[in-house]
Amino acid sequence: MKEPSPATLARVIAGDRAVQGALLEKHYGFIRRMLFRLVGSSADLEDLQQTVMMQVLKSAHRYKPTASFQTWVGSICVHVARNALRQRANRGEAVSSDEPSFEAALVDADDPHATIAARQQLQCCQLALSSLSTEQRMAFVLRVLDGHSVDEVAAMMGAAKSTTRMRLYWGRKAFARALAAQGVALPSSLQEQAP
Amino acid sequence: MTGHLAPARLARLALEPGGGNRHLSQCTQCQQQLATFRAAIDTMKRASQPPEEAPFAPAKAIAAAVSAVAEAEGSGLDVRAWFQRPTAWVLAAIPVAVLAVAVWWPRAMPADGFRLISGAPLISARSIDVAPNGPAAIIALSDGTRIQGDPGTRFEILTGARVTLAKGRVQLWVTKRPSSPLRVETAEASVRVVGTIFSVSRVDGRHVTQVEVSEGLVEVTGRSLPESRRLGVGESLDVAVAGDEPVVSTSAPAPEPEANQEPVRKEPTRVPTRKRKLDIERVRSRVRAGQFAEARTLLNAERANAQSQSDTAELDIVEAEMLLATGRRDEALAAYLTVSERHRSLRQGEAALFAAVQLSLPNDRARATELLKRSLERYPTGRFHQEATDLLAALKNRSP
Repeated sequence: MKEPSPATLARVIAGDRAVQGALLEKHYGFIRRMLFRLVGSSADLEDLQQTVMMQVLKSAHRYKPTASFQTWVGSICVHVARNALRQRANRGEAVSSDEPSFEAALVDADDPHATIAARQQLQCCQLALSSLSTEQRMAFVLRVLDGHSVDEVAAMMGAAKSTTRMRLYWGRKAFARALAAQGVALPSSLQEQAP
Repeated sequence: MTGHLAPARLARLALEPGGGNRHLSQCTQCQQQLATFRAAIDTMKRASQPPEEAPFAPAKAIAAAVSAVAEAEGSGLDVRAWFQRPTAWVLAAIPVAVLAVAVWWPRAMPADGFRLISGAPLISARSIDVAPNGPAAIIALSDGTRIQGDPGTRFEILTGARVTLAKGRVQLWVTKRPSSPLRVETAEASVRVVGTIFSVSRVDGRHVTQVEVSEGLVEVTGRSLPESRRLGVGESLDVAVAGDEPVVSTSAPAPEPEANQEPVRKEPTRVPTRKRKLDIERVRSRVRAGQFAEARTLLNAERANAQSQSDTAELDIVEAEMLLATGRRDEALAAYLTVSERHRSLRQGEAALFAAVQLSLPNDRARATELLKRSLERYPTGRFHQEATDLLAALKNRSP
């Protein structure tokens, strides 16, 4: 993604609404996707998204081009998502593992068996993911699902690279153990081939 | 599942594509299990796409965010954002610190500044040394409190309304200040006072501090006192440390009976002790202020109202002090000697004799020696016994 020029940033800081709108439009999809992956589908996703966008505009004067603008926006997303997850934990809310939005992406009209199997796999993955700590889970999601580099994940989470690597290592290990413990169901195509 | 890869290992391999394994390339069962894990992770990746939105939802959300930020900036000071600035806390701390100092300063520093009213003491920094043979020094503090240091006194005026007395005698007229009472400290005792007239004396070498209260109430604490003692009008307290055994003696200086005392006339309008004491001190304060005419008028009035021999003796001493203050040293010496002879059984007589010794010391050593001997002979357990002994020894050593 093209980095915003210093002139653009200056206009954003000055309060040029048109430029602010254009900047948010560029990163809207990224913010939405990232928040969705970090906190899952929830009623407050729209609110969190709004919070991040406002924070981007308010804190634009603090942006330093040591990392890409998108990474900086990602760090705001991580911060907001972390707070939301902590608030949820304080309220005693569990992360739902069968969210309808997830299912919608998996529907295969031609093969209902495949849809069911995929839904079961997703449930197993969600349960495995919920066994990770907040920091491990965020690092895991950013690296494995979002495909960010370790450097980017470290910058977004405001942590050292070594810390991020350790979080990824232990996160993967815990995820794999939990996934194996779930006894992930084989897809129908594989079930037929199994001995 | 002997001979096969552990499920957790397979799951890890599924998360890290590209990792080769010899067993995996040969074992169909492990390959199937790995494929299962990979399929699950792919499913999760596919499912982690946010739900579709209505066509104009993003534009609406962006417009709402931009408007909200613009309104927040236009609504005045954003307190939260302001305090996030690094310099904000420093800027906020400055008025708080100024306010704290403004409140604290007048309470903690009532006796900070002082000026010399009379006398010629040696003033270095805050330490004040009154010459043994010179006149008494009177110091006025910024809050109106006055401190008189007798000849040979060394004291220090410290911040926080504290006066430390090293030796000699100080008399104080303290302005009322209940929030931060004045404190006079010696090596043996600490005297706390709110607003009163009292004196603290300390003989260097004897390690005794004597506190006498003329008006009001003082609280005395000391290492040798098991608990603090309160002294009222006319009371005095000697705080001493003799070896490890503390010696504390209290005495109320009631008028002493005298052998040749005239019968006391009983008058219906007898002035209370406190009032009488205060009036004598008023005469003294006029003398110290240099208002001699007024002092003389008050002195004559007091003489008419004198209730006892002790009162008369005190007034005679005040008259001698007045003569000394006006520079009539010889007349003052004669007046002191008269008091010492006329009221020899009273403590005023003892004090007058010792004052006569001090006045004689610079010019007439022989007379001073004779007076010291008389003092030691007449008052073997007197207040000035130790000091008189020391002075006599010093005079003997100096004589050829």
